[in-house]
Amino acid sequence: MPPAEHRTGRKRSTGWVTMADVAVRAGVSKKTVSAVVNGVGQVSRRTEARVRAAIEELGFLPNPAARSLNSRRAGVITLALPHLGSGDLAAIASAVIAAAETAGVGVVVEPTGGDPAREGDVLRPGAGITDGVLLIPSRRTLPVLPGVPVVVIGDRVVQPTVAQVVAPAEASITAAAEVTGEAGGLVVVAAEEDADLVPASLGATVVRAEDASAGAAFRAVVADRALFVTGTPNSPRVGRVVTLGGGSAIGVAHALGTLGLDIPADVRLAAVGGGGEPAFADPPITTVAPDVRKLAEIAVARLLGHLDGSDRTAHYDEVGLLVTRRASTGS
Amino acid sequence: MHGYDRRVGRTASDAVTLRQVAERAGVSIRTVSNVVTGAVPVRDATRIRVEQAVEELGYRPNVAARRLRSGRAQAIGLVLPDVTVPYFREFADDVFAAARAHGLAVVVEQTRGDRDRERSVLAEPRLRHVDGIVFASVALDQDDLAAMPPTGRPVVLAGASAFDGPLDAVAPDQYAAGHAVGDLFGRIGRSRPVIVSADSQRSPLRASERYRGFIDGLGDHGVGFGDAAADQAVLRCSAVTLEAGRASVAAVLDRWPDVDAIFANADALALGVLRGLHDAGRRVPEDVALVGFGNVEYAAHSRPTLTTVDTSRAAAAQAAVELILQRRDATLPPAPQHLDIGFTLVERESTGAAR
Repeated sequence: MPPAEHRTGRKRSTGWVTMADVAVRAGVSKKTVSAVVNGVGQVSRRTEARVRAAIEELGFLPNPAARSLNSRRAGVITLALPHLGSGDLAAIASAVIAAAETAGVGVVVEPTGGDPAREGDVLRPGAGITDGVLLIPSRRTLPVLPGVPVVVIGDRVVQPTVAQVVAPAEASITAAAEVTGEAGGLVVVAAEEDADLVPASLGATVVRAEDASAGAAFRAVVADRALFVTGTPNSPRVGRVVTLGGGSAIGVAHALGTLGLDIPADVRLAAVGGGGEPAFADPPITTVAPDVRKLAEIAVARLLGHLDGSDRTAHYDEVGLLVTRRASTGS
Repeated sequence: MHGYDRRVGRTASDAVTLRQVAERAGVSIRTVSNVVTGAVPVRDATRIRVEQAVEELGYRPNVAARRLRSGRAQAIGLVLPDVTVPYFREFADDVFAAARAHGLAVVVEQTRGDRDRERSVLAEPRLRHVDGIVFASVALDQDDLAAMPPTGRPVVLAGASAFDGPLDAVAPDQYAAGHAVGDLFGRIGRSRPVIVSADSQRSPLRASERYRGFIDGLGDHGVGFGDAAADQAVLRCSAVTLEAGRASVAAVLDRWPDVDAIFANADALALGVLRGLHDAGRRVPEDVALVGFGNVEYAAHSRPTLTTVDTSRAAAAQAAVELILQRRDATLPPAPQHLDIGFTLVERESTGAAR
């Protein structure tokens, strides 16, 4: 590998932009530029602003490989999430890896199994081999200790002292319920873990599955068949189903088929989240999902801002929802 | 805007050390180390004191130094096309579980199945810290693999068709798996099969063990698949995705309108093909029988449910991680290891099996 100096910066027609170029443009020493870029040392605000302006003008991009040689950075971040097996989480993970790749940063994917102890392992100060953590938390996530560079992603709000990029669960579930229309009782199929996210205002019957997989949703619906086929004394026959997760929706569609129910004639079905598969189901399934690319880009930018010291505010960002109407809701 | 680095006036040369944290917390350096690494449980009151000192002083453990000291990154790389593809995300989960059992972290790198990217990915700086790499290659052929420069660390191919090459590999017996699918089509009386594949355009069909087995399996029932390249009913897709599978159907029906069976080289392709056949008004399995490869979770819940080849994903992941550790620790003979992890043909509705 060539010396760090030669690998630093972005290739332009005139060659690599180096820290030395930035220093000359800003009229400061290379050490000062380095202090700004790496977020270490004492630099006055005026000098820092001058250096940042020069960085912008010249299009200097610190190379993470070089940076980790020059500083204490590994150039790798951790994405901690319950697991990767669901399409919804995989869609976020893929977008995070892509956004990190654009920023020149590697991603360690750390499945927590939704276990607060394993989340705690990842979030302990100095844990692991990476510089910071993007966390898709579970229901039982413990408060994040101060001093850990972390940005929380997803539908659960953790604590105001931590930066979060959120697709609010309540709004998503409500929007999905609306897309299914008004006729017939409403059921929400949710993993046990996520059942608390269902807003009471919907008046929905919650069917709990072991997890968010297609198989678990299939088993939960078949076990509760009376609710779907004839209704129960306490609730009318089901006309609308919302699932938390695209995998669940595929399992529910399969189960309703085996119970002899037609989608959308008998039951209209919409999924919150979804990943890629609902569009290919028979019939294709309506989804309400966050803009995952945007979610990932914001989260990675917030974490890198925290790591390089340029912005350590505990931002709260919300991303918009994309509603895609398909045949499962009669579109 | 001013983080703790700035508040304490820290520079690279006077970084906060374990010793300073220990002094502030009134404990030994070893105790600080135990809290920070989590190697040994520490009493709650002590742990909280140490964590407070860590926060106050802005201590960040020097990960680079720790790696240098241990001589090992304690991480492996996992290179795959895209974690949104059902097979690969499920395989990734299996690799995480296997790695976790050995205390290894996993750095994930996506190639989108692009050949150029697969050829250069092992030199990717983001993978520079890893001990070894599990490589789910979909675009490289035997020649590409032979031409790759040595990486100086273990690389294990997972599920690739280039099984007899210069690298360690874990895969099912591709010939036998292909043979089982060809035999199934023969058994249910299908005589005009088409292959939908995202395999490399460059290798002739006969170079693939999986397809040689498939052709021989059909042959056992007197069904020919054509020997000359021109006769072979193979549709090449640009990627292993649901969308690529769906999009392939128009071309399949255009070129082979009387097709009565499709062997899709991956479940993602098969599930996309299923959608495309629905849209084209072809019934599965009455008009067209369909078989995938991989046995992803979704395959058990599609309409109709999908017949597929289960490739023992969890066993493959475990074997791949163990091969990396054995290579790292130099406990294997130098010759490339090729582990056959077995397969099962899972017959479902898409080939006429009862519900």
